[in-house]
Amino acid sequence: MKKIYKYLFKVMILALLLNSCEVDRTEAIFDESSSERIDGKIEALRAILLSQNEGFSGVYFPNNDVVGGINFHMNFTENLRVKMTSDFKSTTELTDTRYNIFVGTTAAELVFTSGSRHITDLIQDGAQGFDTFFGSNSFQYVGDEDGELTFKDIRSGGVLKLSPSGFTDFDTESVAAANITYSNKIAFSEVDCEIESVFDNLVLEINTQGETINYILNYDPDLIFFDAETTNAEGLSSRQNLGAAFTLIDGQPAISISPELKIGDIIFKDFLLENTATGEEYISTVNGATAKILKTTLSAPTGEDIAELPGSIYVYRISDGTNPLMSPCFREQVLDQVNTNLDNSFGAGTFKFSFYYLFFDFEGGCTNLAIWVENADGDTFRANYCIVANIESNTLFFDYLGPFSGPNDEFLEAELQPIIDFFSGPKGLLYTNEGAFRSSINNFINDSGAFTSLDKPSLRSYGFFFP
Amino acid sequence: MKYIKLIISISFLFTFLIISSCSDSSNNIEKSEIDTSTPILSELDLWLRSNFVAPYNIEVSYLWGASNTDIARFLYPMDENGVKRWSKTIKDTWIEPYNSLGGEDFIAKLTPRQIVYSGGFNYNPNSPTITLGIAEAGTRITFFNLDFLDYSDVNSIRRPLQTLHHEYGHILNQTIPFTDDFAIITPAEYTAQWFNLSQKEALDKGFITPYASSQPGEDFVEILANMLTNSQEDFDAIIALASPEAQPIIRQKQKIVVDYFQENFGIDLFELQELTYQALIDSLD
Repeated sequence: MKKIYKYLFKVMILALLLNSCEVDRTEAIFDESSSERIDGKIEALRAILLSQNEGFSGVYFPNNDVVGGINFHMNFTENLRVKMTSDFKSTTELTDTRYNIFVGTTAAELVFTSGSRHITDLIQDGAQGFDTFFGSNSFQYVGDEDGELTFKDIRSGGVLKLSPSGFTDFDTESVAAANITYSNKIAFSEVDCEIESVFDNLVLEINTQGETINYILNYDPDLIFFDAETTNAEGLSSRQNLGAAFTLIDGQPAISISPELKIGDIIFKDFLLENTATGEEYISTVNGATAKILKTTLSAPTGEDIAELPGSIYVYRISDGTNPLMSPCFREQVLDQVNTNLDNSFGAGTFKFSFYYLFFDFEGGCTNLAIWVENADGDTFRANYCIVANIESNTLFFDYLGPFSGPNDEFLEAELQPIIDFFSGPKGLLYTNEGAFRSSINNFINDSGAFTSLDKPSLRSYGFFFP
Repeated sequence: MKYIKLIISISFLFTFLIISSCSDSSNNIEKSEIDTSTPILSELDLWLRSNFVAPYNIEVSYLWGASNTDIARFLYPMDENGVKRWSKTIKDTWIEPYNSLGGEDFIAKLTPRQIVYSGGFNYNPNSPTITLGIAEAGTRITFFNLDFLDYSDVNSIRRPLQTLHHEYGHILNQTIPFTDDFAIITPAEYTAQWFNLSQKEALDKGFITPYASSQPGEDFVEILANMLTNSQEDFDAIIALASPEAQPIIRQKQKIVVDYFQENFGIDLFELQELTYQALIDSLD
């Protein structure tokens, strides 16, 4: 009998032990499991993207520190394909590529997984590599505010904003819209090199109640980017970089800027095109304050800076990229003409302009205008030309005396003549100091400067100095 | 007997309590919460599955986001319209020749598990060079600039195939190292500044290409890559451009490469060269 009680006791203890290990100590922090929450984020974004039968339109600013924005039109389908166009280049045809939605660290990510040219052109432009627009194909979903979706580019921190397109036929209207904004972008930077001057500046005039601020805008059409400079009453100048996007707001041509321009409590963002008595102006009106982007003629600098030339060697190199101070007309009529001459003489692509140096001599000797061209393998060839400097009335004159030294001088003289002509024009050059060197690729602490032709004031070259 | 019945009854009661306490948990075994559904597959995806995944266990990765490669570099996936043709090209010029001579499972046994297609150029920062391809730990080969292939130009196709044979050479070397004798042929000529050498200067120093002078491992696979993307006559013509003193040096290295394949894999490299070069020519428009 005792034995029976012992067995019974053991069975009870065993049961209690097993029962105790089954105490559920978990607490429900989330209502849904982790995988359900991941799926939820993906499905929520997917539902938003698929909610518009005629897709979305918006602007992508990949990196508003250095480049402007691009208009995109996208139409997403359930089978993970997206039709897309943009106005980055003239080729606005729709692409039909793949997308997917993943969950990154915390949020859903929209990833354009196969290479749509409209996206990849911004990541790496053609074979140049160095002219990237800093784009990405992966975008973290930030949120939806009044129907406007915001995505953050996970590589460069750029911002893509998309709103319902409002189109009735995405395929035709998206391409038409991209063509319009592309044309507006091109028209904005068109310059008549024969009659215009680099002193016909774009300006940004801001009138808030009781305050007027004027910025001089240097615009780089390749980067769609403004370098805005203003000088206050004390003579202190300050700069602001503004990315631009040529877009349509309610069908009206407009420029959207990023970052937004904040003057006190007023924020200017969108500038609508208006035809005024003085020409085309892009105007932003906020609470009675206005900001206008327009072209106006500014008085030319005095040229006094020539007395303070910050170095004895001046350099311009294609490989440094672009700066708005290098005028489009200089590129077209001088550098492009040199390349055309080289193509005509030696065959297309055999040689192209690479860089030039000025080794100054203000003692009556030859200033050496040394010009390098490169072949398809990147090998460079130097030619030297003697130009004698003379300064009168703050104007720099160079007399061209001919080839200086070396076997290539005469050989390449005819092809390089546009550069020689730029520096040796009879009306001379106006020189301006431009602070530390900055460009789309390289920023140096070296002082920079610009030479403007007084024979053809649409031509201005920009470079930097070695002491 | 009475007690035994009592004990059994009490035991059943406790067993019930145990079971009921277990069944009170909310952690019932249910179906997986992980999404294991088949992803949406395009015709291209199905083709890649049947031509690379199924026979060779190689994943061709042509759909990817910024974080799938070095995020600091501006890289992007290849245009999907070019994926099938390039995949067929590497199958014809790499997989089939190796399998033909090394056995039908050669590539399946000794292969990268993933091939990644990148459309644009991979520029190296602070260097005038681009990276054509990367082999990562023998598991993954990444091709760059595939959006710029021109099938009417043999050099345009030869270049990425050299990258393939080069990177696959590394994978073979990671499996079976080559003899140390190779590295002592031109030990003093290896340089980190290889990109300053012209092709002729490299040849005259005993290297088949400037990049071969970067280190012995690259030297070995550069010979392999150049053999497998040129005819024997063309390869001999390249060596003939080297100085008379350098030619036997390159030949000495080539012999080690040829012997390596014969001794370790039973592959006659000259025979493989015929197959890969003919496939390269056949891949052109």
